[in-house]
Amino acid sequence: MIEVKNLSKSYGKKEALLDVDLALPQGEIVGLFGENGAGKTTLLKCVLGYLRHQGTVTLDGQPITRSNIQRLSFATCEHSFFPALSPAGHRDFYRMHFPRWREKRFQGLMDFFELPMDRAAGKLSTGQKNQLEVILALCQGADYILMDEPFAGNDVFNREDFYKVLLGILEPTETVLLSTHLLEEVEHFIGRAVLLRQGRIVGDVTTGALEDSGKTLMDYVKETYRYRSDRVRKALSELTGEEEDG
Amino acid sequence: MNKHLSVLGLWARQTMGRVLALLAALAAAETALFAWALSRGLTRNIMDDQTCPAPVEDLFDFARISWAYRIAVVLLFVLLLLSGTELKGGRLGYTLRRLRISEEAAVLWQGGYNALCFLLLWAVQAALVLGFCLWYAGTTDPAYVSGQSAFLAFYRSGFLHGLLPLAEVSRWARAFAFFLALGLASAMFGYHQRHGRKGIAAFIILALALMSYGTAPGAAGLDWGMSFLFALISGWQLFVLWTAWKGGLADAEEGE
Repeated sequence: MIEVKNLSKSYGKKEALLDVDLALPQGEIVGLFGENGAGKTTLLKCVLGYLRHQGTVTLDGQPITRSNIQRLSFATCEHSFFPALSPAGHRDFYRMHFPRWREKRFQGLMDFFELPMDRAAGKLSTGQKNQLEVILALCQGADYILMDEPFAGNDVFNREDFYKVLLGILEPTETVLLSTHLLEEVEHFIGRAVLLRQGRIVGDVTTGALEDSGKTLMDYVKETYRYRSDRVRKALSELTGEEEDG
Repeated sequence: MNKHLSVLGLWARQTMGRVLALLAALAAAETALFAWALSRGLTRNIMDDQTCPAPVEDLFDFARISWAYRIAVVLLFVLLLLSGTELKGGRLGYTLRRLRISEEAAVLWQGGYNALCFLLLWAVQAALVLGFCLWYAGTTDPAYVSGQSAFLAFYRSGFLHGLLPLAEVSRWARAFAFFLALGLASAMFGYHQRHGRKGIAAFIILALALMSYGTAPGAAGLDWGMSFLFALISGWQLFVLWTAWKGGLADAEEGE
């Protein structure tokens, strides 16, 4: 289990995360939601140890260091692969560094998404780069797969395919923490939703609990964020009024 | 050991194609320049009314071969420098921090690989000028060329002497200290960039080397001084790397 306790992170005077507590048991698919700048990416990077922070992050009670970092993998829309290396080159290299590399899964996903095996990763289209990034993260044999907006730039059908494939291939011990804006798309794919706002966790609910209460994820988010549904209408009428006045 | 060699292989796969293309371009450009210089039939005045074919070092000067080499050093430097950075997009540092060897060890391998690339460039350049010397000897009146012509040229010309310093140990030391320092510093540049810092050592080394390149033979004091300076900068880089390695996984990156 990944446990985050009292995690705080600031960039200069700006507090990006404040006293975040979060537990991720093995085998869950968790959606991490929040507006731009809510701290989603920062939280993922702190968990991975990429950013200095206050508070603790442990994996099965141990701090995350070089000795256990391989139990975590990361797929990011920024792409963490080597641009000059082909997918086949990545496979050869990753096999050497990730002893639990999932060869069959890699081959299957590469075939499914029809990615060219021998073209340099940097020369793939944006959608293909995203696919490769996610495939590499899924095949490293990690117990915890952290994803940060991994499908930014992919079309809706492609994303849909990915969710279905993910659900089909993930083993019960694999955990996914997926940071995304695509609330409605992932609603039926995740088992739990964590909401961040201004660096704080403001909501944490299982989709089962939502179903029991008859709410959708979007309802829950709007409720938690105290979203004012009349906001747009008011703004539009004000704007229209201004124009009429002018 | 395989995991270390795989990282060396990673750096090689990142740039080897472009390094070989650069070497091929250098060979083609210098061959064309030397052929042009040779075709001009350059001469040197012996006495008021007599001339002889210009010695081979004059042809190298006329063809600007040393400038072609300098440009190739700079291009290779830029190529290797960029290969470890995230300036062209992508965050390869995230993966480098999760390998079975530390990122710092990966940087050392990259530094070694980069130094080998600079050595390769030097070897190709040395082979080219030796080939041009043979070409010159084969096309020049035998009355003016002897087996010693090339040997003497490598003592008379600062550029040629810098490439093959013959018995001058201090110049060899300076050349190899330069390759090692530039290799390591160019790898460190990417390391610093990935962690949101600036690494300027590589530029200092390159500027120092280019400014002092082609020094006349016999400047042992300068050679040893430069060697010491390059070694000092390399030592500092290694210390920075060692300190970071001891610091563990988290980096000093600030801002998103």
